[in-house]
Amino acid sequence: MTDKPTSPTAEGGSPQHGPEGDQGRRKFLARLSVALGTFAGLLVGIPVLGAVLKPMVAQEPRVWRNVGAVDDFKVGTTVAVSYENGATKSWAGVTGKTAAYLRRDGESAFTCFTVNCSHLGCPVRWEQTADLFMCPCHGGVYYANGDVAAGPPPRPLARYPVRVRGGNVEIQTTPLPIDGRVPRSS
Amino acid sequence: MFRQIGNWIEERTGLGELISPVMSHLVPRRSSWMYVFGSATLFAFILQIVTGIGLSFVYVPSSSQAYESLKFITENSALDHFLRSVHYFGASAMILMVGLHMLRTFLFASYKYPREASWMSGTVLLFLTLAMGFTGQILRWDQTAIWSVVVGAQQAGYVPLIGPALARFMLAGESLGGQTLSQFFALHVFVFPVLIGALLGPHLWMVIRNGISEPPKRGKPVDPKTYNQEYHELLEKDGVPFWPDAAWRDVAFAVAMIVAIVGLAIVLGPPHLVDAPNPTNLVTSPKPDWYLLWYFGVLALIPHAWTPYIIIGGPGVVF
Repeated sequence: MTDKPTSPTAEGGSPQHGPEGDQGRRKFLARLSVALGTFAGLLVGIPVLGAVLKPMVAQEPRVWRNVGAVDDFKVGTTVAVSYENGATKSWAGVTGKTAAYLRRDGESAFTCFTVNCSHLGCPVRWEQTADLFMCPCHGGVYYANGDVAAGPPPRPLARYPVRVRGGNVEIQTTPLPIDGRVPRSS
Repeated sequence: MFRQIGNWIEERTGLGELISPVMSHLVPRRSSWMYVFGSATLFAFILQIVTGIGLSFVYVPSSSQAYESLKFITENSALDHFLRSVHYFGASAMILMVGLHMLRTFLFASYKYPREASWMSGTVLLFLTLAMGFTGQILRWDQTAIWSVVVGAQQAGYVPLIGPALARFMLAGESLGGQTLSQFFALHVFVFPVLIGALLGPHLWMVIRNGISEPPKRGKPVDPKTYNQEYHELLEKDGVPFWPDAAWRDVAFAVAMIVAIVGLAIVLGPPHLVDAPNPTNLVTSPKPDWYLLWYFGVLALIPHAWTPYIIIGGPGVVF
């Protein structure tokens, strides 16, 4: 600012407050305004950011879900099962459920595969006669043990924790696998 | 009488003073029908706002009920059916127009000095438009929509370092659930339209400040040292006022576009809703709408090692 002094103080104010004093006062007021504005913005911005970002950090509880009696599954077969997520809200409706593929390997040995293709997450289909998982989106194919047989998937089908308790098969709820990996369970 | 009212308002608001230079600013005489796509995009955006507001009065953005409400809109009310249809074809038109607008800008080299900032703000607006298309498609909340969220989250997961966090942001949690649709509704209805509006301000201001580019001439590259002077000499010698000499084409084209949208909406109707959303129904084949289908296809054709670079680097090339 190179213009002439125009403030009332400079024109007719007390002699102690010359143009230099005025500049200092203006700088102070400008900084004060910015600081006050930032303070008010943060005050109301924090809860807004909290609402937006909370789902990114909130941990859902890991729960074991019963998907059926051991005898419901035949040895050597793979079937789709479904169960509720860890912390389902009532308003989630059917979207609060997750599907998985369960394979009975032996008397009490089970393997649980995610249904999400490790390429881009599309739901793979179990083709019983071909003994393969096939993805409809980009042609990914997996063997019955989840290893990649063909197509763009970078890694095998992710696996969920599964156990047998009291004659029932239980699957542990986990976050949706991202990039073909199941995030660590706590 | 009207003149008196007008004068009364003008004396107190100065609105005419504000608008008049915008309307009368000079544009090159050789500006042609090739220059209508930007304003057509704007008109399509306005159409989307108006029809979107209408739809928001009847749509229920809840993970458990959205599909039912959309089914009702589509099947039980002729006017709502029409409204949804116009909103769908309006979206297609907006994406088509923004694409043509960008193509014209590129081929005419209008992104060169002094309009680089227009191009850069335009690329962000292009991505926001595509984001509007994607989030809008999710609001259908049918089988394709919920699996598109999963596929979208997986793509976000490819971003280095923050990928998993971004993926969780898209899902609004660890997996699909009660908050997923609410979040897409908020993004589609509040966040992205406000961002588009906020960027449109400077984007349009720069059109007034720098003027619309003249069609390029062979053998005459843009020289930043002399360009501004030559452009102003051209305008003074051979410029015509924007309103109505050039603006009539914008109006005529936009009206034709809206007639076409309404015609398609009547004849073809809104996009078909597939099955109700159900993450446990695995017999489904999610596909994006036409404007992202090519991209979805490319991801099948490239070697997997390239995937992260295409997903993350592709948009950077456009910018």
